[in-house]
Amino acid sequence: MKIIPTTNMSTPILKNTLPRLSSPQSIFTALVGLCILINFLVQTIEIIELKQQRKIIGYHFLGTNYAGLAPLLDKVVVIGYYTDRDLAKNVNSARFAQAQYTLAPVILNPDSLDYEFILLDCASGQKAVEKMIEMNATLVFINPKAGFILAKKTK
Amino acid sequence: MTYCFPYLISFLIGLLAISLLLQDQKKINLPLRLSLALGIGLSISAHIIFFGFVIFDKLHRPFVLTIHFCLLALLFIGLLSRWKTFTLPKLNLRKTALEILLGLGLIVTILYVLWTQANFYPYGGWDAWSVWNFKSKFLYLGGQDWKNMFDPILWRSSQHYPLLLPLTNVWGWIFFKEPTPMIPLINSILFTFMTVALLYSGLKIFVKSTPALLAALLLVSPTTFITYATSQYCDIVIAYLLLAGLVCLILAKLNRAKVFAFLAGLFLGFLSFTKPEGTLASALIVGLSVPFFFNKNEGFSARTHPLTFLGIGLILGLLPTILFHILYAPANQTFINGLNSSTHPVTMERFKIIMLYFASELMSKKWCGLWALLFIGLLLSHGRCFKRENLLLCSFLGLYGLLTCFYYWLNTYFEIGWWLTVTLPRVLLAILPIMIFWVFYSLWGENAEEQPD
Repeated sequence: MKIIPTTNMSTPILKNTLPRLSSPQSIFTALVGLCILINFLVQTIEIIELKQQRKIIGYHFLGTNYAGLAPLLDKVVVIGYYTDRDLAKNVNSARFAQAQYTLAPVILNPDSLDYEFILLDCASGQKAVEKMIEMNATLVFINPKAGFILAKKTK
Repeated sequence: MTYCFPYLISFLIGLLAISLLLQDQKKINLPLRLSLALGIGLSISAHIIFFGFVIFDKLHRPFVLTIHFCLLALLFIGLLSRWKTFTLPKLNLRKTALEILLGLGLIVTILYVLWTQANFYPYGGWDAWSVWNFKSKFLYLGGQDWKNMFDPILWRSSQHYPLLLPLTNVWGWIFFKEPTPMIPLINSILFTFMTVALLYSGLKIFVKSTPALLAALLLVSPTTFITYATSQYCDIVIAYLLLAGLVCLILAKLNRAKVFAFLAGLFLGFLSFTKPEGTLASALIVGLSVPFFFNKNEGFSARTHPLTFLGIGLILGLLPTILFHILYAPANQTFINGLNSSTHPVTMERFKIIMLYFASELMSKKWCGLWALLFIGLLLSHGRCFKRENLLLCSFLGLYGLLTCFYYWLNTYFEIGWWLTVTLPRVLLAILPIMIFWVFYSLWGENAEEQPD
């Protein structure tokens, strides 16, 4: 009866496989594979969570509030921008930058009110109206919900 | 359909140009040609619009479209005239239906992830609406007054930045009556996808398919990369052009192919028109190319030397950057030289913060261990990452890192903690594809054999 030399058969395989598995490329491939797997899993969870969040809260670009002003400012180069909010705070700064983006190529100057048109962007519509009266300006457009007024200075 | 036209035109211009330039390069795979084509086409479109601004001082649609169609016709005639000697790139038809389906599935999945992430913020990140898309609107709607965007009142919009991305957005809007926010979003997705495709196809020339695919998947796997890349910022454009320029340079060196040196010059020229970081990177790579290509024994004459072709491509690509800086760019209003300033001097404390922040950002959770993994990869390469063929990549990354840190230290206009938080991840995003390329090329590069497509 012929005896099959099992140990002799497996040795060359092990001899070839082990160095290959412990080669830098194999180790790195395993690490990269693991990293990709974990990252995609994390990414999928984040996408699902964000999608659910968006269903509840939705996405609101503050700049869209100001879209109605663009036709009223045709050919105007610069307008003044007044706010009683603290522009150093991120949320207020974002509001200003998004208003600036929506109204471009009209420039909003937050440092001067010495222009024909002024955008009064206040915490409430009431405050904006008070500032407009103080400046002796007339109302062109009001959005009481968003708390801003476009006013024109009386010459 | 209106959305497709500008991209289709740019893609055709890029594809015809690439096909003409690479007609003798049979080894170059189809995915690499395609991923280079769209990038080159979009950059050319942006340049044509810029020249329109220089000549007519406004967005001149008839000029822009006429030049595009003339260029398209010229390239088409050029291709027809060489049709007899023209050979189509190799396509491996041995691939099984399963492999093709898997490939397509992967492309669709990546595009779906990019589309979903981009649509979470359809107007992009902060700098999208305060810098890049904002400038695009000035260029598109400003008429003769487009230069108002350089008004000092708008200092927040980094007016000294070059205009490649805003002009690419304008090109996307060319057939529209108003600037739809969808175009910057599409541009960000396209550039991200092209970067991934370029990483895969560029690496595939030097390494086997599996590591090339792993590299591409590794790039798109962290949410941080996808979020920043689809934020409609310019950094993904830098990432793409940087990778394209370096891949072309390496191909020029290894294949002794002048045409790749020309393409590298072109991409580096385009890169200089993206952002000051892009200009710096471009200058650095061009400087490093001189020793990279300089070899006494190679026997090139001045006419046939790759550096000559690199120079020609560079001049063509660099022209808008030069014109922009001569004609329009205002001084950087957000720069204080800390070495000269008594009110905002440079300090050792600032230097320490930069170094610590740099290290903590690389190890930050948000990158999901990606940078640590890449450093492990470099260690596993047993020094091959510093070998002669990798010197361009490693010296560029080292010098670029050093210069970036130096600039953070020197410019004391911004509070350093805030500045690093806002900008450093984007600097890392821009160099991530070439970092991955470097690691994979170091580990598998020597196995480079004739790879099937």
